[in-house]
Amino acid sequence: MRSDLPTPRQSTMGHFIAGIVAVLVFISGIAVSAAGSIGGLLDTWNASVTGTLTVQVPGEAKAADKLAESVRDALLKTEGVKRAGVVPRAQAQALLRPWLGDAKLIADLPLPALVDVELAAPSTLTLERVDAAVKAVAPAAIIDDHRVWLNRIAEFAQALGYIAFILIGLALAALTLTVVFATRASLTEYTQTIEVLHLVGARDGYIASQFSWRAVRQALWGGVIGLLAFAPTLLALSWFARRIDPGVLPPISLPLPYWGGLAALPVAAAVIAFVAARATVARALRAMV
Amino acid sequence: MALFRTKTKEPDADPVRLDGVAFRYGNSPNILSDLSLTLPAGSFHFLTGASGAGKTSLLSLLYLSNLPTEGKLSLFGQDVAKASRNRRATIRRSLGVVFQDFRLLDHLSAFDNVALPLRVAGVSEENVKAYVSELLGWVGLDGLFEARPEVLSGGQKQRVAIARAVVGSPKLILADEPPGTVDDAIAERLMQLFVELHKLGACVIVATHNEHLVSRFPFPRLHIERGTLSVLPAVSHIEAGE
Ligand SMILES: Nc1ncnc2c1ncn2[C@@H]1O[C@H](COP(=O)(O)OP(=O)(O)OP(=O)(O)O)[C@@H](O)[C@H]1O
Ligand SMILES: [Mg+2]
Repeated sequence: MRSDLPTPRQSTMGHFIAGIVAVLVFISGIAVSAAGSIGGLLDTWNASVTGTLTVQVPGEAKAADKLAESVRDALLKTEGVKRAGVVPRAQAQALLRPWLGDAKLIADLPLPALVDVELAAPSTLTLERVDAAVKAVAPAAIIDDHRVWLNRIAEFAQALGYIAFILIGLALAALTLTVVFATRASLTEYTQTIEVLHLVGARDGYIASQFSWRAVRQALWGGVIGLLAFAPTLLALSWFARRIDPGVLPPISLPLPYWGGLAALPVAAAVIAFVAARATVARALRAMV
Repeated sequence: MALFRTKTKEPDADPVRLDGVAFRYGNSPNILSDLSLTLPAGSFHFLTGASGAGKTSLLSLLYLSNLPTEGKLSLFGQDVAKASRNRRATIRRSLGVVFQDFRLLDHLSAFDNVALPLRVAGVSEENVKAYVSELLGWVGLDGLFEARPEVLSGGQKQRVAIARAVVGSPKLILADEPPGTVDDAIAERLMQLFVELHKLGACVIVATHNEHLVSRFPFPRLHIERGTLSVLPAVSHIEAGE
């Protein structure tokens, strides 16, 4: 669309909207990918860990091992348990060797006997049954439900995800306010232009369109620049994440919808800019005869 | 000269009709009071009065920059106070205004300034190019199409302003002090332009202090004094009668 307004280069407001949109899209981009990665992480954890738990049977080694075998037998008869097996003490000790070294020292440690359990269908009911079966045989046994600590992490991660969404909301709100005030400020700069257009017979819609399409162009520009600046940041983050042992941090991937969300940011900025500019100019025009 | 023709809703209605119009800015006393006047199509009037008498204020009512505080103003048979905003925009397209301070847009070239009324009215670029080029040539601005107002002289700016006023072939032409800053040869030519348009049926009002100009043309005067308007016969006719 042909414009009767000064080009951005001719006006002091110039690239202001574009610049602010770039910054806000950058921030929103980080927030969106944070929310997305956390979501992806939670899915991975849920899929890999929820079906297993460990029972620790404390006590003097021989007695504990014997009790662990009873626990295993009881669990194998429990509904919902797919597999249960005593972890051989030698294997548990082998796991500790890299940290503690001395084999004699490890042998003397009062290590609990361990029963590895895999559930067919993890549910609260199954967990209650497991709990009852274990407690009946070995009241001192501790059930290490991985989900307990995992749930805490999941809750934390979810909270981070919500914060990310709040951040996106705040960025969009800041964008709206910025465009409204930038347009209002530029109206003083353009009073003469608006008045002349008005006096030579331009309709309100024509004048408002000139401003809103210009704001759209600036917001799209800013949005794309913000995304382009954000891309290397995202690549760097995922590179660092990939260097971490997958046992500690499962591979992070941004779920597909979040890529859509990232691409939608400049569009959202453009829509906000359009509406804000249009409303602001329409208001200024209503003050004219 | 081929000028672009715009359509008016009621071509037969009087371009200007004032019924008991009064006007003031805000809460200040009336600048104009109880004006009643009808200007038919094809009429030509000078608008005179001392500085500060209210010439620009009266014209601002006619070009719809202000609304009367009292009374009724009709342009082309339409009560401007009751017209919708879009309707008023359409009425403005039938007007050609030369503002006292020109009001050219500094960021647009001479060509684009003149083209503005056609473009906001949705005239095709092809026609815009034809009409604007011809008119700019006619007012002697060949070769200055791309010049910004800031590099133009006062007289050149005024010619751009006049070209912008008449490019839409207006039915009502309002010129505030047009030849004031122009040397006499150009003033003569520009006045001729208004006279031509008046002969083609436009209603023309030219506000001026220039007694010399008023005396050279046989047109009646609208004279504002102490807020009231009187119609005086043409100066040249008075002289002829003496
Ligand atoms: N926007 C405004 N707000 C308030 N008062 C105004 C405004 N414009 C003009 N006036 C006042 O209205 C009166 C008439 O002004 P106007 O500009 O209509 O006079 P004029 O006849 O055009 O004068 P000049 O010949 O110097 O151009 C003056 O006293 C002026 O101070
Ligand atoms: Mg004046």
